Amino acid sequence: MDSDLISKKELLDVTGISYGQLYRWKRKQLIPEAWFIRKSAYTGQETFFPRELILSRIDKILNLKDDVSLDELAERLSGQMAGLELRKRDFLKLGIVSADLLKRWAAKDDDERIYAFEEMLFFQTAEALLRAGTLQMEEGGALLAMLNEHYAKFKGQPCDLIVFRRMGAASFALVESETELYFDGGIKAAARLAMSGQVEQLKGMLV
Amino acid sequence: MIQTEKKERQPYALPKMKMNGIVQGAGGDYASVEVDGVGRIIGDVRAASHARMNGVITVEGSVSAFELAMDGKMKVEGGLRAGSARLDGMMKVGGPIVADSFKMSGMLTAEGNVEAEQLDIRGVVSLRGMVNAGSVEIGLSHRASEVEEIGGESVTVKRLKGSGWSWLWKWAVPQSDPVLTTALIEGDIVLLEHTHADIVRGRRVTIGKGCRIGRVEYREELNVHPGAIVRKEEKTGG
Repeated sequence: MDSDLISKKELLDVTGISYGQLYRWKRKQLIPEAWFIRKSAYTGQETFFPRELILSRIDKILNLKDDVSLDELAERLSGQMAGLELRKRDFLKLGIVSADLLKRWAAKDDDERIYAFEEMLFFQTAEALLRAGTLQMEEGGALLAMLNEHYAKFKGQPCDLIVFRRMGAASFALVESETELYFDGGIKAAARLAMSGQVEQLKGMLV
Repeated sequence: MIQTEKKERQPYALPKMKMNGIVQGAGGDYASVEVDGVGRIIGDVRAASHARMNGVITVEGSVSAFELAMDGKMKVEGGLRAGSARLDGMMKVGGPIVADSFKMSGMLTAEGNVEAEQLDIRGVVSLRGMVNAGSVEIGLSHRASEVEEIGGESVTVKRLKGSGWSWLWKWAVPQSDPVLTTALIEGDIVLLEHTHADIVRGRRVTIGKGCRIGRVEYREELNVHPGAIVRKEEKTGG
């Protein structure tokens, strides 16, 4: 069995939630439809979930559901994160992106400037790459510009960010997830990053 | 005596649609929609408050209304979205159904998924998608029903004894055994009668008379009527 997946039965055992709760949360769009993966098992048709994602999501829901309504929670967790935006200085306070980086990459933006979820996502993605050592500080601007220009075109469809280098010079590309890409020998693919994973991480930090 | 009229919330900017006779109207945004007769609405129609449809109506598009009432026969080629829906007669929906409360007597056919907090259907259902509702109540009568999958907090399927609208069925549909056939039912509290299912999973499960179930997985409690057939049962989760 794929260890990245968890069956519905096991999920219920591990988290102690009920079928009813799971269905309710699905109705309220607290759990995305795409996470319900149907497979045939020896016991018949079974539903599986991406283990990490669903466990952290359920943990979040269980922690928050007593404080906020399900609808509000749905808004916070939903794919689009519509309406989730922060002023630059509030975003800074969260410490998702260090002050130095924001100073460098967003020097023009006023402290009161409101960032949309996507913009925060781009900063956070750049920061993650920088920390992993796949991105140089001075390349951040080009990455951010590319994301700003093209990310929206995927309209929430899963896409991957690819960082590749020729003779050390970095280039960036966004491709649909699960697309195969082959480069000539002179190019070294430095990183491939699923944007959906970044979205989840950022949501985790913001919610 | 002072008479107070209960006013529905209505955006004044929107027109009202009111049609009767043999009608044809255009979709769009309306404050309310009232149709009596035989008609056709072309395009998606949205009613900010209520939509009342009586007669035989086809919508070439989707329908959304805060409050939907239908009496007669209606076909919606797209999806159906409503705060509350009360339907009597025959309804065909080409897309998904989303409602807070969905109550129907008659015959419902839907191609898409059905989502509701409360789903209460008496009569015959033929649902190609998945049903996901807080409470699902299906009262079987007159002929066989089928649903792809049902999930929710409580799922109740019963066979109705007699009903006040049997006259409708005498001419509307040929009779067959009122049994529900489905691949999967999952719920916290599941109570079934005359249901044929491959798998039933739940916390407390009651399999009543006339059921034929391939496999039951229950967490706390299982009751099986002597007249029911359960091929495999398993207690799960501690």
